[in-house]
Amino acid sequence: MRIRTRPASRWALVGVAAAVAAAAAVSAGLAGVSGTRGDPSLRGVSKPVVVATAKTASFISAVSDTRRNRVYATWSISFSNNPDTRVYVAASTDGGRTFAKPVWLARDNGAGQSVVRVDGNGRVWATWTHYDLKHEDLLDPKQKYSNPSWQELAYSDDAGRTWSRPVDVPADHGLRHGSAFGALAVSPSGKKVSVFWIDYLPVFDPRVKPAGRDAGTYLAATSVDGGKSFGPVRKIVQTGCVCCEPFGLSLDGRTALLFRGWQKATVKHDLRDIKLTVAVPGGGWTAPVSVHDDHFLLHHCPSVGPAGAVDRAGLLHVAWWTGATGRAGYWYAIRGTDGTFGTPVEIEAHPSAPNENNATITLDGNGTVWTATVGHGDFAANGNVDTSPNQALVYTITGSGKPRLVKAATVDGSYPQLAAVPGAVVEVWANAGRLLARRLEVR
Amino acid sequence: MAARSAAVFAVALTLAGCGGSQVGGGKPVAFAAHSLDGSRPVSTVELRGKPVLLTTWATWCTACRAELPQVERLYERDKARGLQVVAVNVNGEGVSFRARELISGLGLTMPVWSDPDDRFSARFRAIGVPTSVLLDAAGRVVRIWQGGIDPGNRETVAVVERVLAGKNA
Repeated sequence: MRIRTRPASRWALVGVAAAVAAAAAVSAGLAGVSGTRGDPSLRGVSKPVVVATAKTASFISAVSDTRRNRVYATWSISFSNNPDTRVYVAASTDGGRTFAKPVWLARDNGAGQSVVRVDGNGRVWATWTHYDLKHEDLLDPKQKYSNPSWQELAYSDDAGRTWSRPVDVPADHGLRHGSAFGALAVSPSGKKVSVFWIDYLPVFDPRVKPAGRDAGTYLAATSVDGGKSFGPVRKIVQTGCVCCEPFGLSLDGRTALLFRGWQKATVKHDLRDIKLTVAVPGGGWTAPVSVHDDHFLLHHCPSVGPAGAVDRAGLLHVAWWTGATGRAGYWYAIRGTDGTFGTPVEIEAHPSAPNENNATITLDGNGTVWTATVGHGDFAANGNVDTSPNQALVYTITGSGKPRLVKAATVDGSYPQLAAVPGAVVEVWANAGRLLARRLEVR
Repeated sequence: MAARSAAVFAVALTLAGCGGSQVGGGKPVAFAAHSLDGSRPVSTVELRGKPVLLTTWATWCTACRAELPQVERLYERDKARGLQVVAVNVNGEGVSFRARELISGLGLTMPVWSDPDDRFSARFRAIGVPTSVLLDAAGRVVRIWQGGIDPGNRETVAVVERVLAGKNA
């Protein structure tokens, strides 16, 4: 992998973030931690622990509750001999050193694509897509792979051990309701909870013109009473990717959604750049703004969506992959306090699309940005079968704005996810049928 | 500035959906995956001697559901003439029961491979799903269709015909 950097204009903002961030004291012992001489941000890497044995895990994501030194990982599994799909959450209450036995959310056999968030009170929220396996396809009874579906929401007040009874979002869904690629944003107080999803009905409806089937409509329902009740379903974006995971977050006290866009460019190609929309008072949403005009043209599914993290100064840090001609790669940009995005920096030249959830970003206690994606072996065309494994690649971006591959953190595997806790960044990833986790001790 | 942007945009449009010439640099390439049930390794090396069309799909890829039947028709049309077609599933969880239902529901008879780590994308520099790759009988990349293949397209037909005729189009 080669790393190219481009001039950036807003790196002073990173300095602000670093100054605001409290320097976390690393007092934890380093038993089982290997040294990492030469990596300025990394003090050591702990031995991996097995979070779960899950041969068919997909849609893996992780978040942290920094204040309580907790990490939550969630994933979906499916089966080869029956139509069931399930979602699990595993929690660590010791900063990623150990994980409790995974909890099967709602014991739901028709669940997938889970997302977890944590509010300021330590309540853990989860949403997932529930598929009604008892009923036939949304539109075509001959097909059985697009069951009616909607989002469900539950929370846990005991670090993920037990969960509330799930509520349906929206409550008045019917059997002609199709939901996919859910996202979740929770305010620090936990009062405001927004659930997002892509309306899948038009995607399958033959009466909808092709352009309407290609574009995803993002819907959202928001609760202002801590998830007890939800307001009306709002159509927030009609130009989203139908097959890319969006990312919900709380930004400037408002709910926001990062997503991959869809905009018709020509008969054969659509623009698939990353966008941001933010809720405004009164129930509306801002017109989507581009994180950067990459001019990524593709007609079908780029699959991987963006990831975002907000630092203590309120600045939004975004990582994403683009397949734009001449700039295909994994990129990073900051949204300043004026609401505009700075010049992006290429973290890694990456000519091929990473699959599902291979974008992640977090900030450690020093204000250093950590991000990760999947890398592939050396695909030199020698005509032989390449058996080298995928690699989970971790990068840091320091105050000077230069991305740096943390070589000591490179590990065989896919779907890396990062979550910051005091003194460390916890990495969760998949390899050889297992979900693994380890601490990247922050220097 | 606007003119420059327009020019860049036009070049990008031209390049999108093409590609492949740089992958392999005219030498044979190999792609490995697993059989549909995941029980045994498979690779394009085993298929050398006849042209191969690979096309990716995933259950979450709505566009794939429209494309796969078209690829199946191409398979039915040209398999007797030596065209080998493989649908490569890139779902992270592998080929699940639901994926099998989709295969069944669409009436697919072409071989399906499983590539849960999506090594296909890295191998062929795919920028999305579906992506179709045509290899000649020697295993060299002839053409990559980013965003999938339209078997009825006149230019696509011409490329396939040339490869079936033993010419590296």
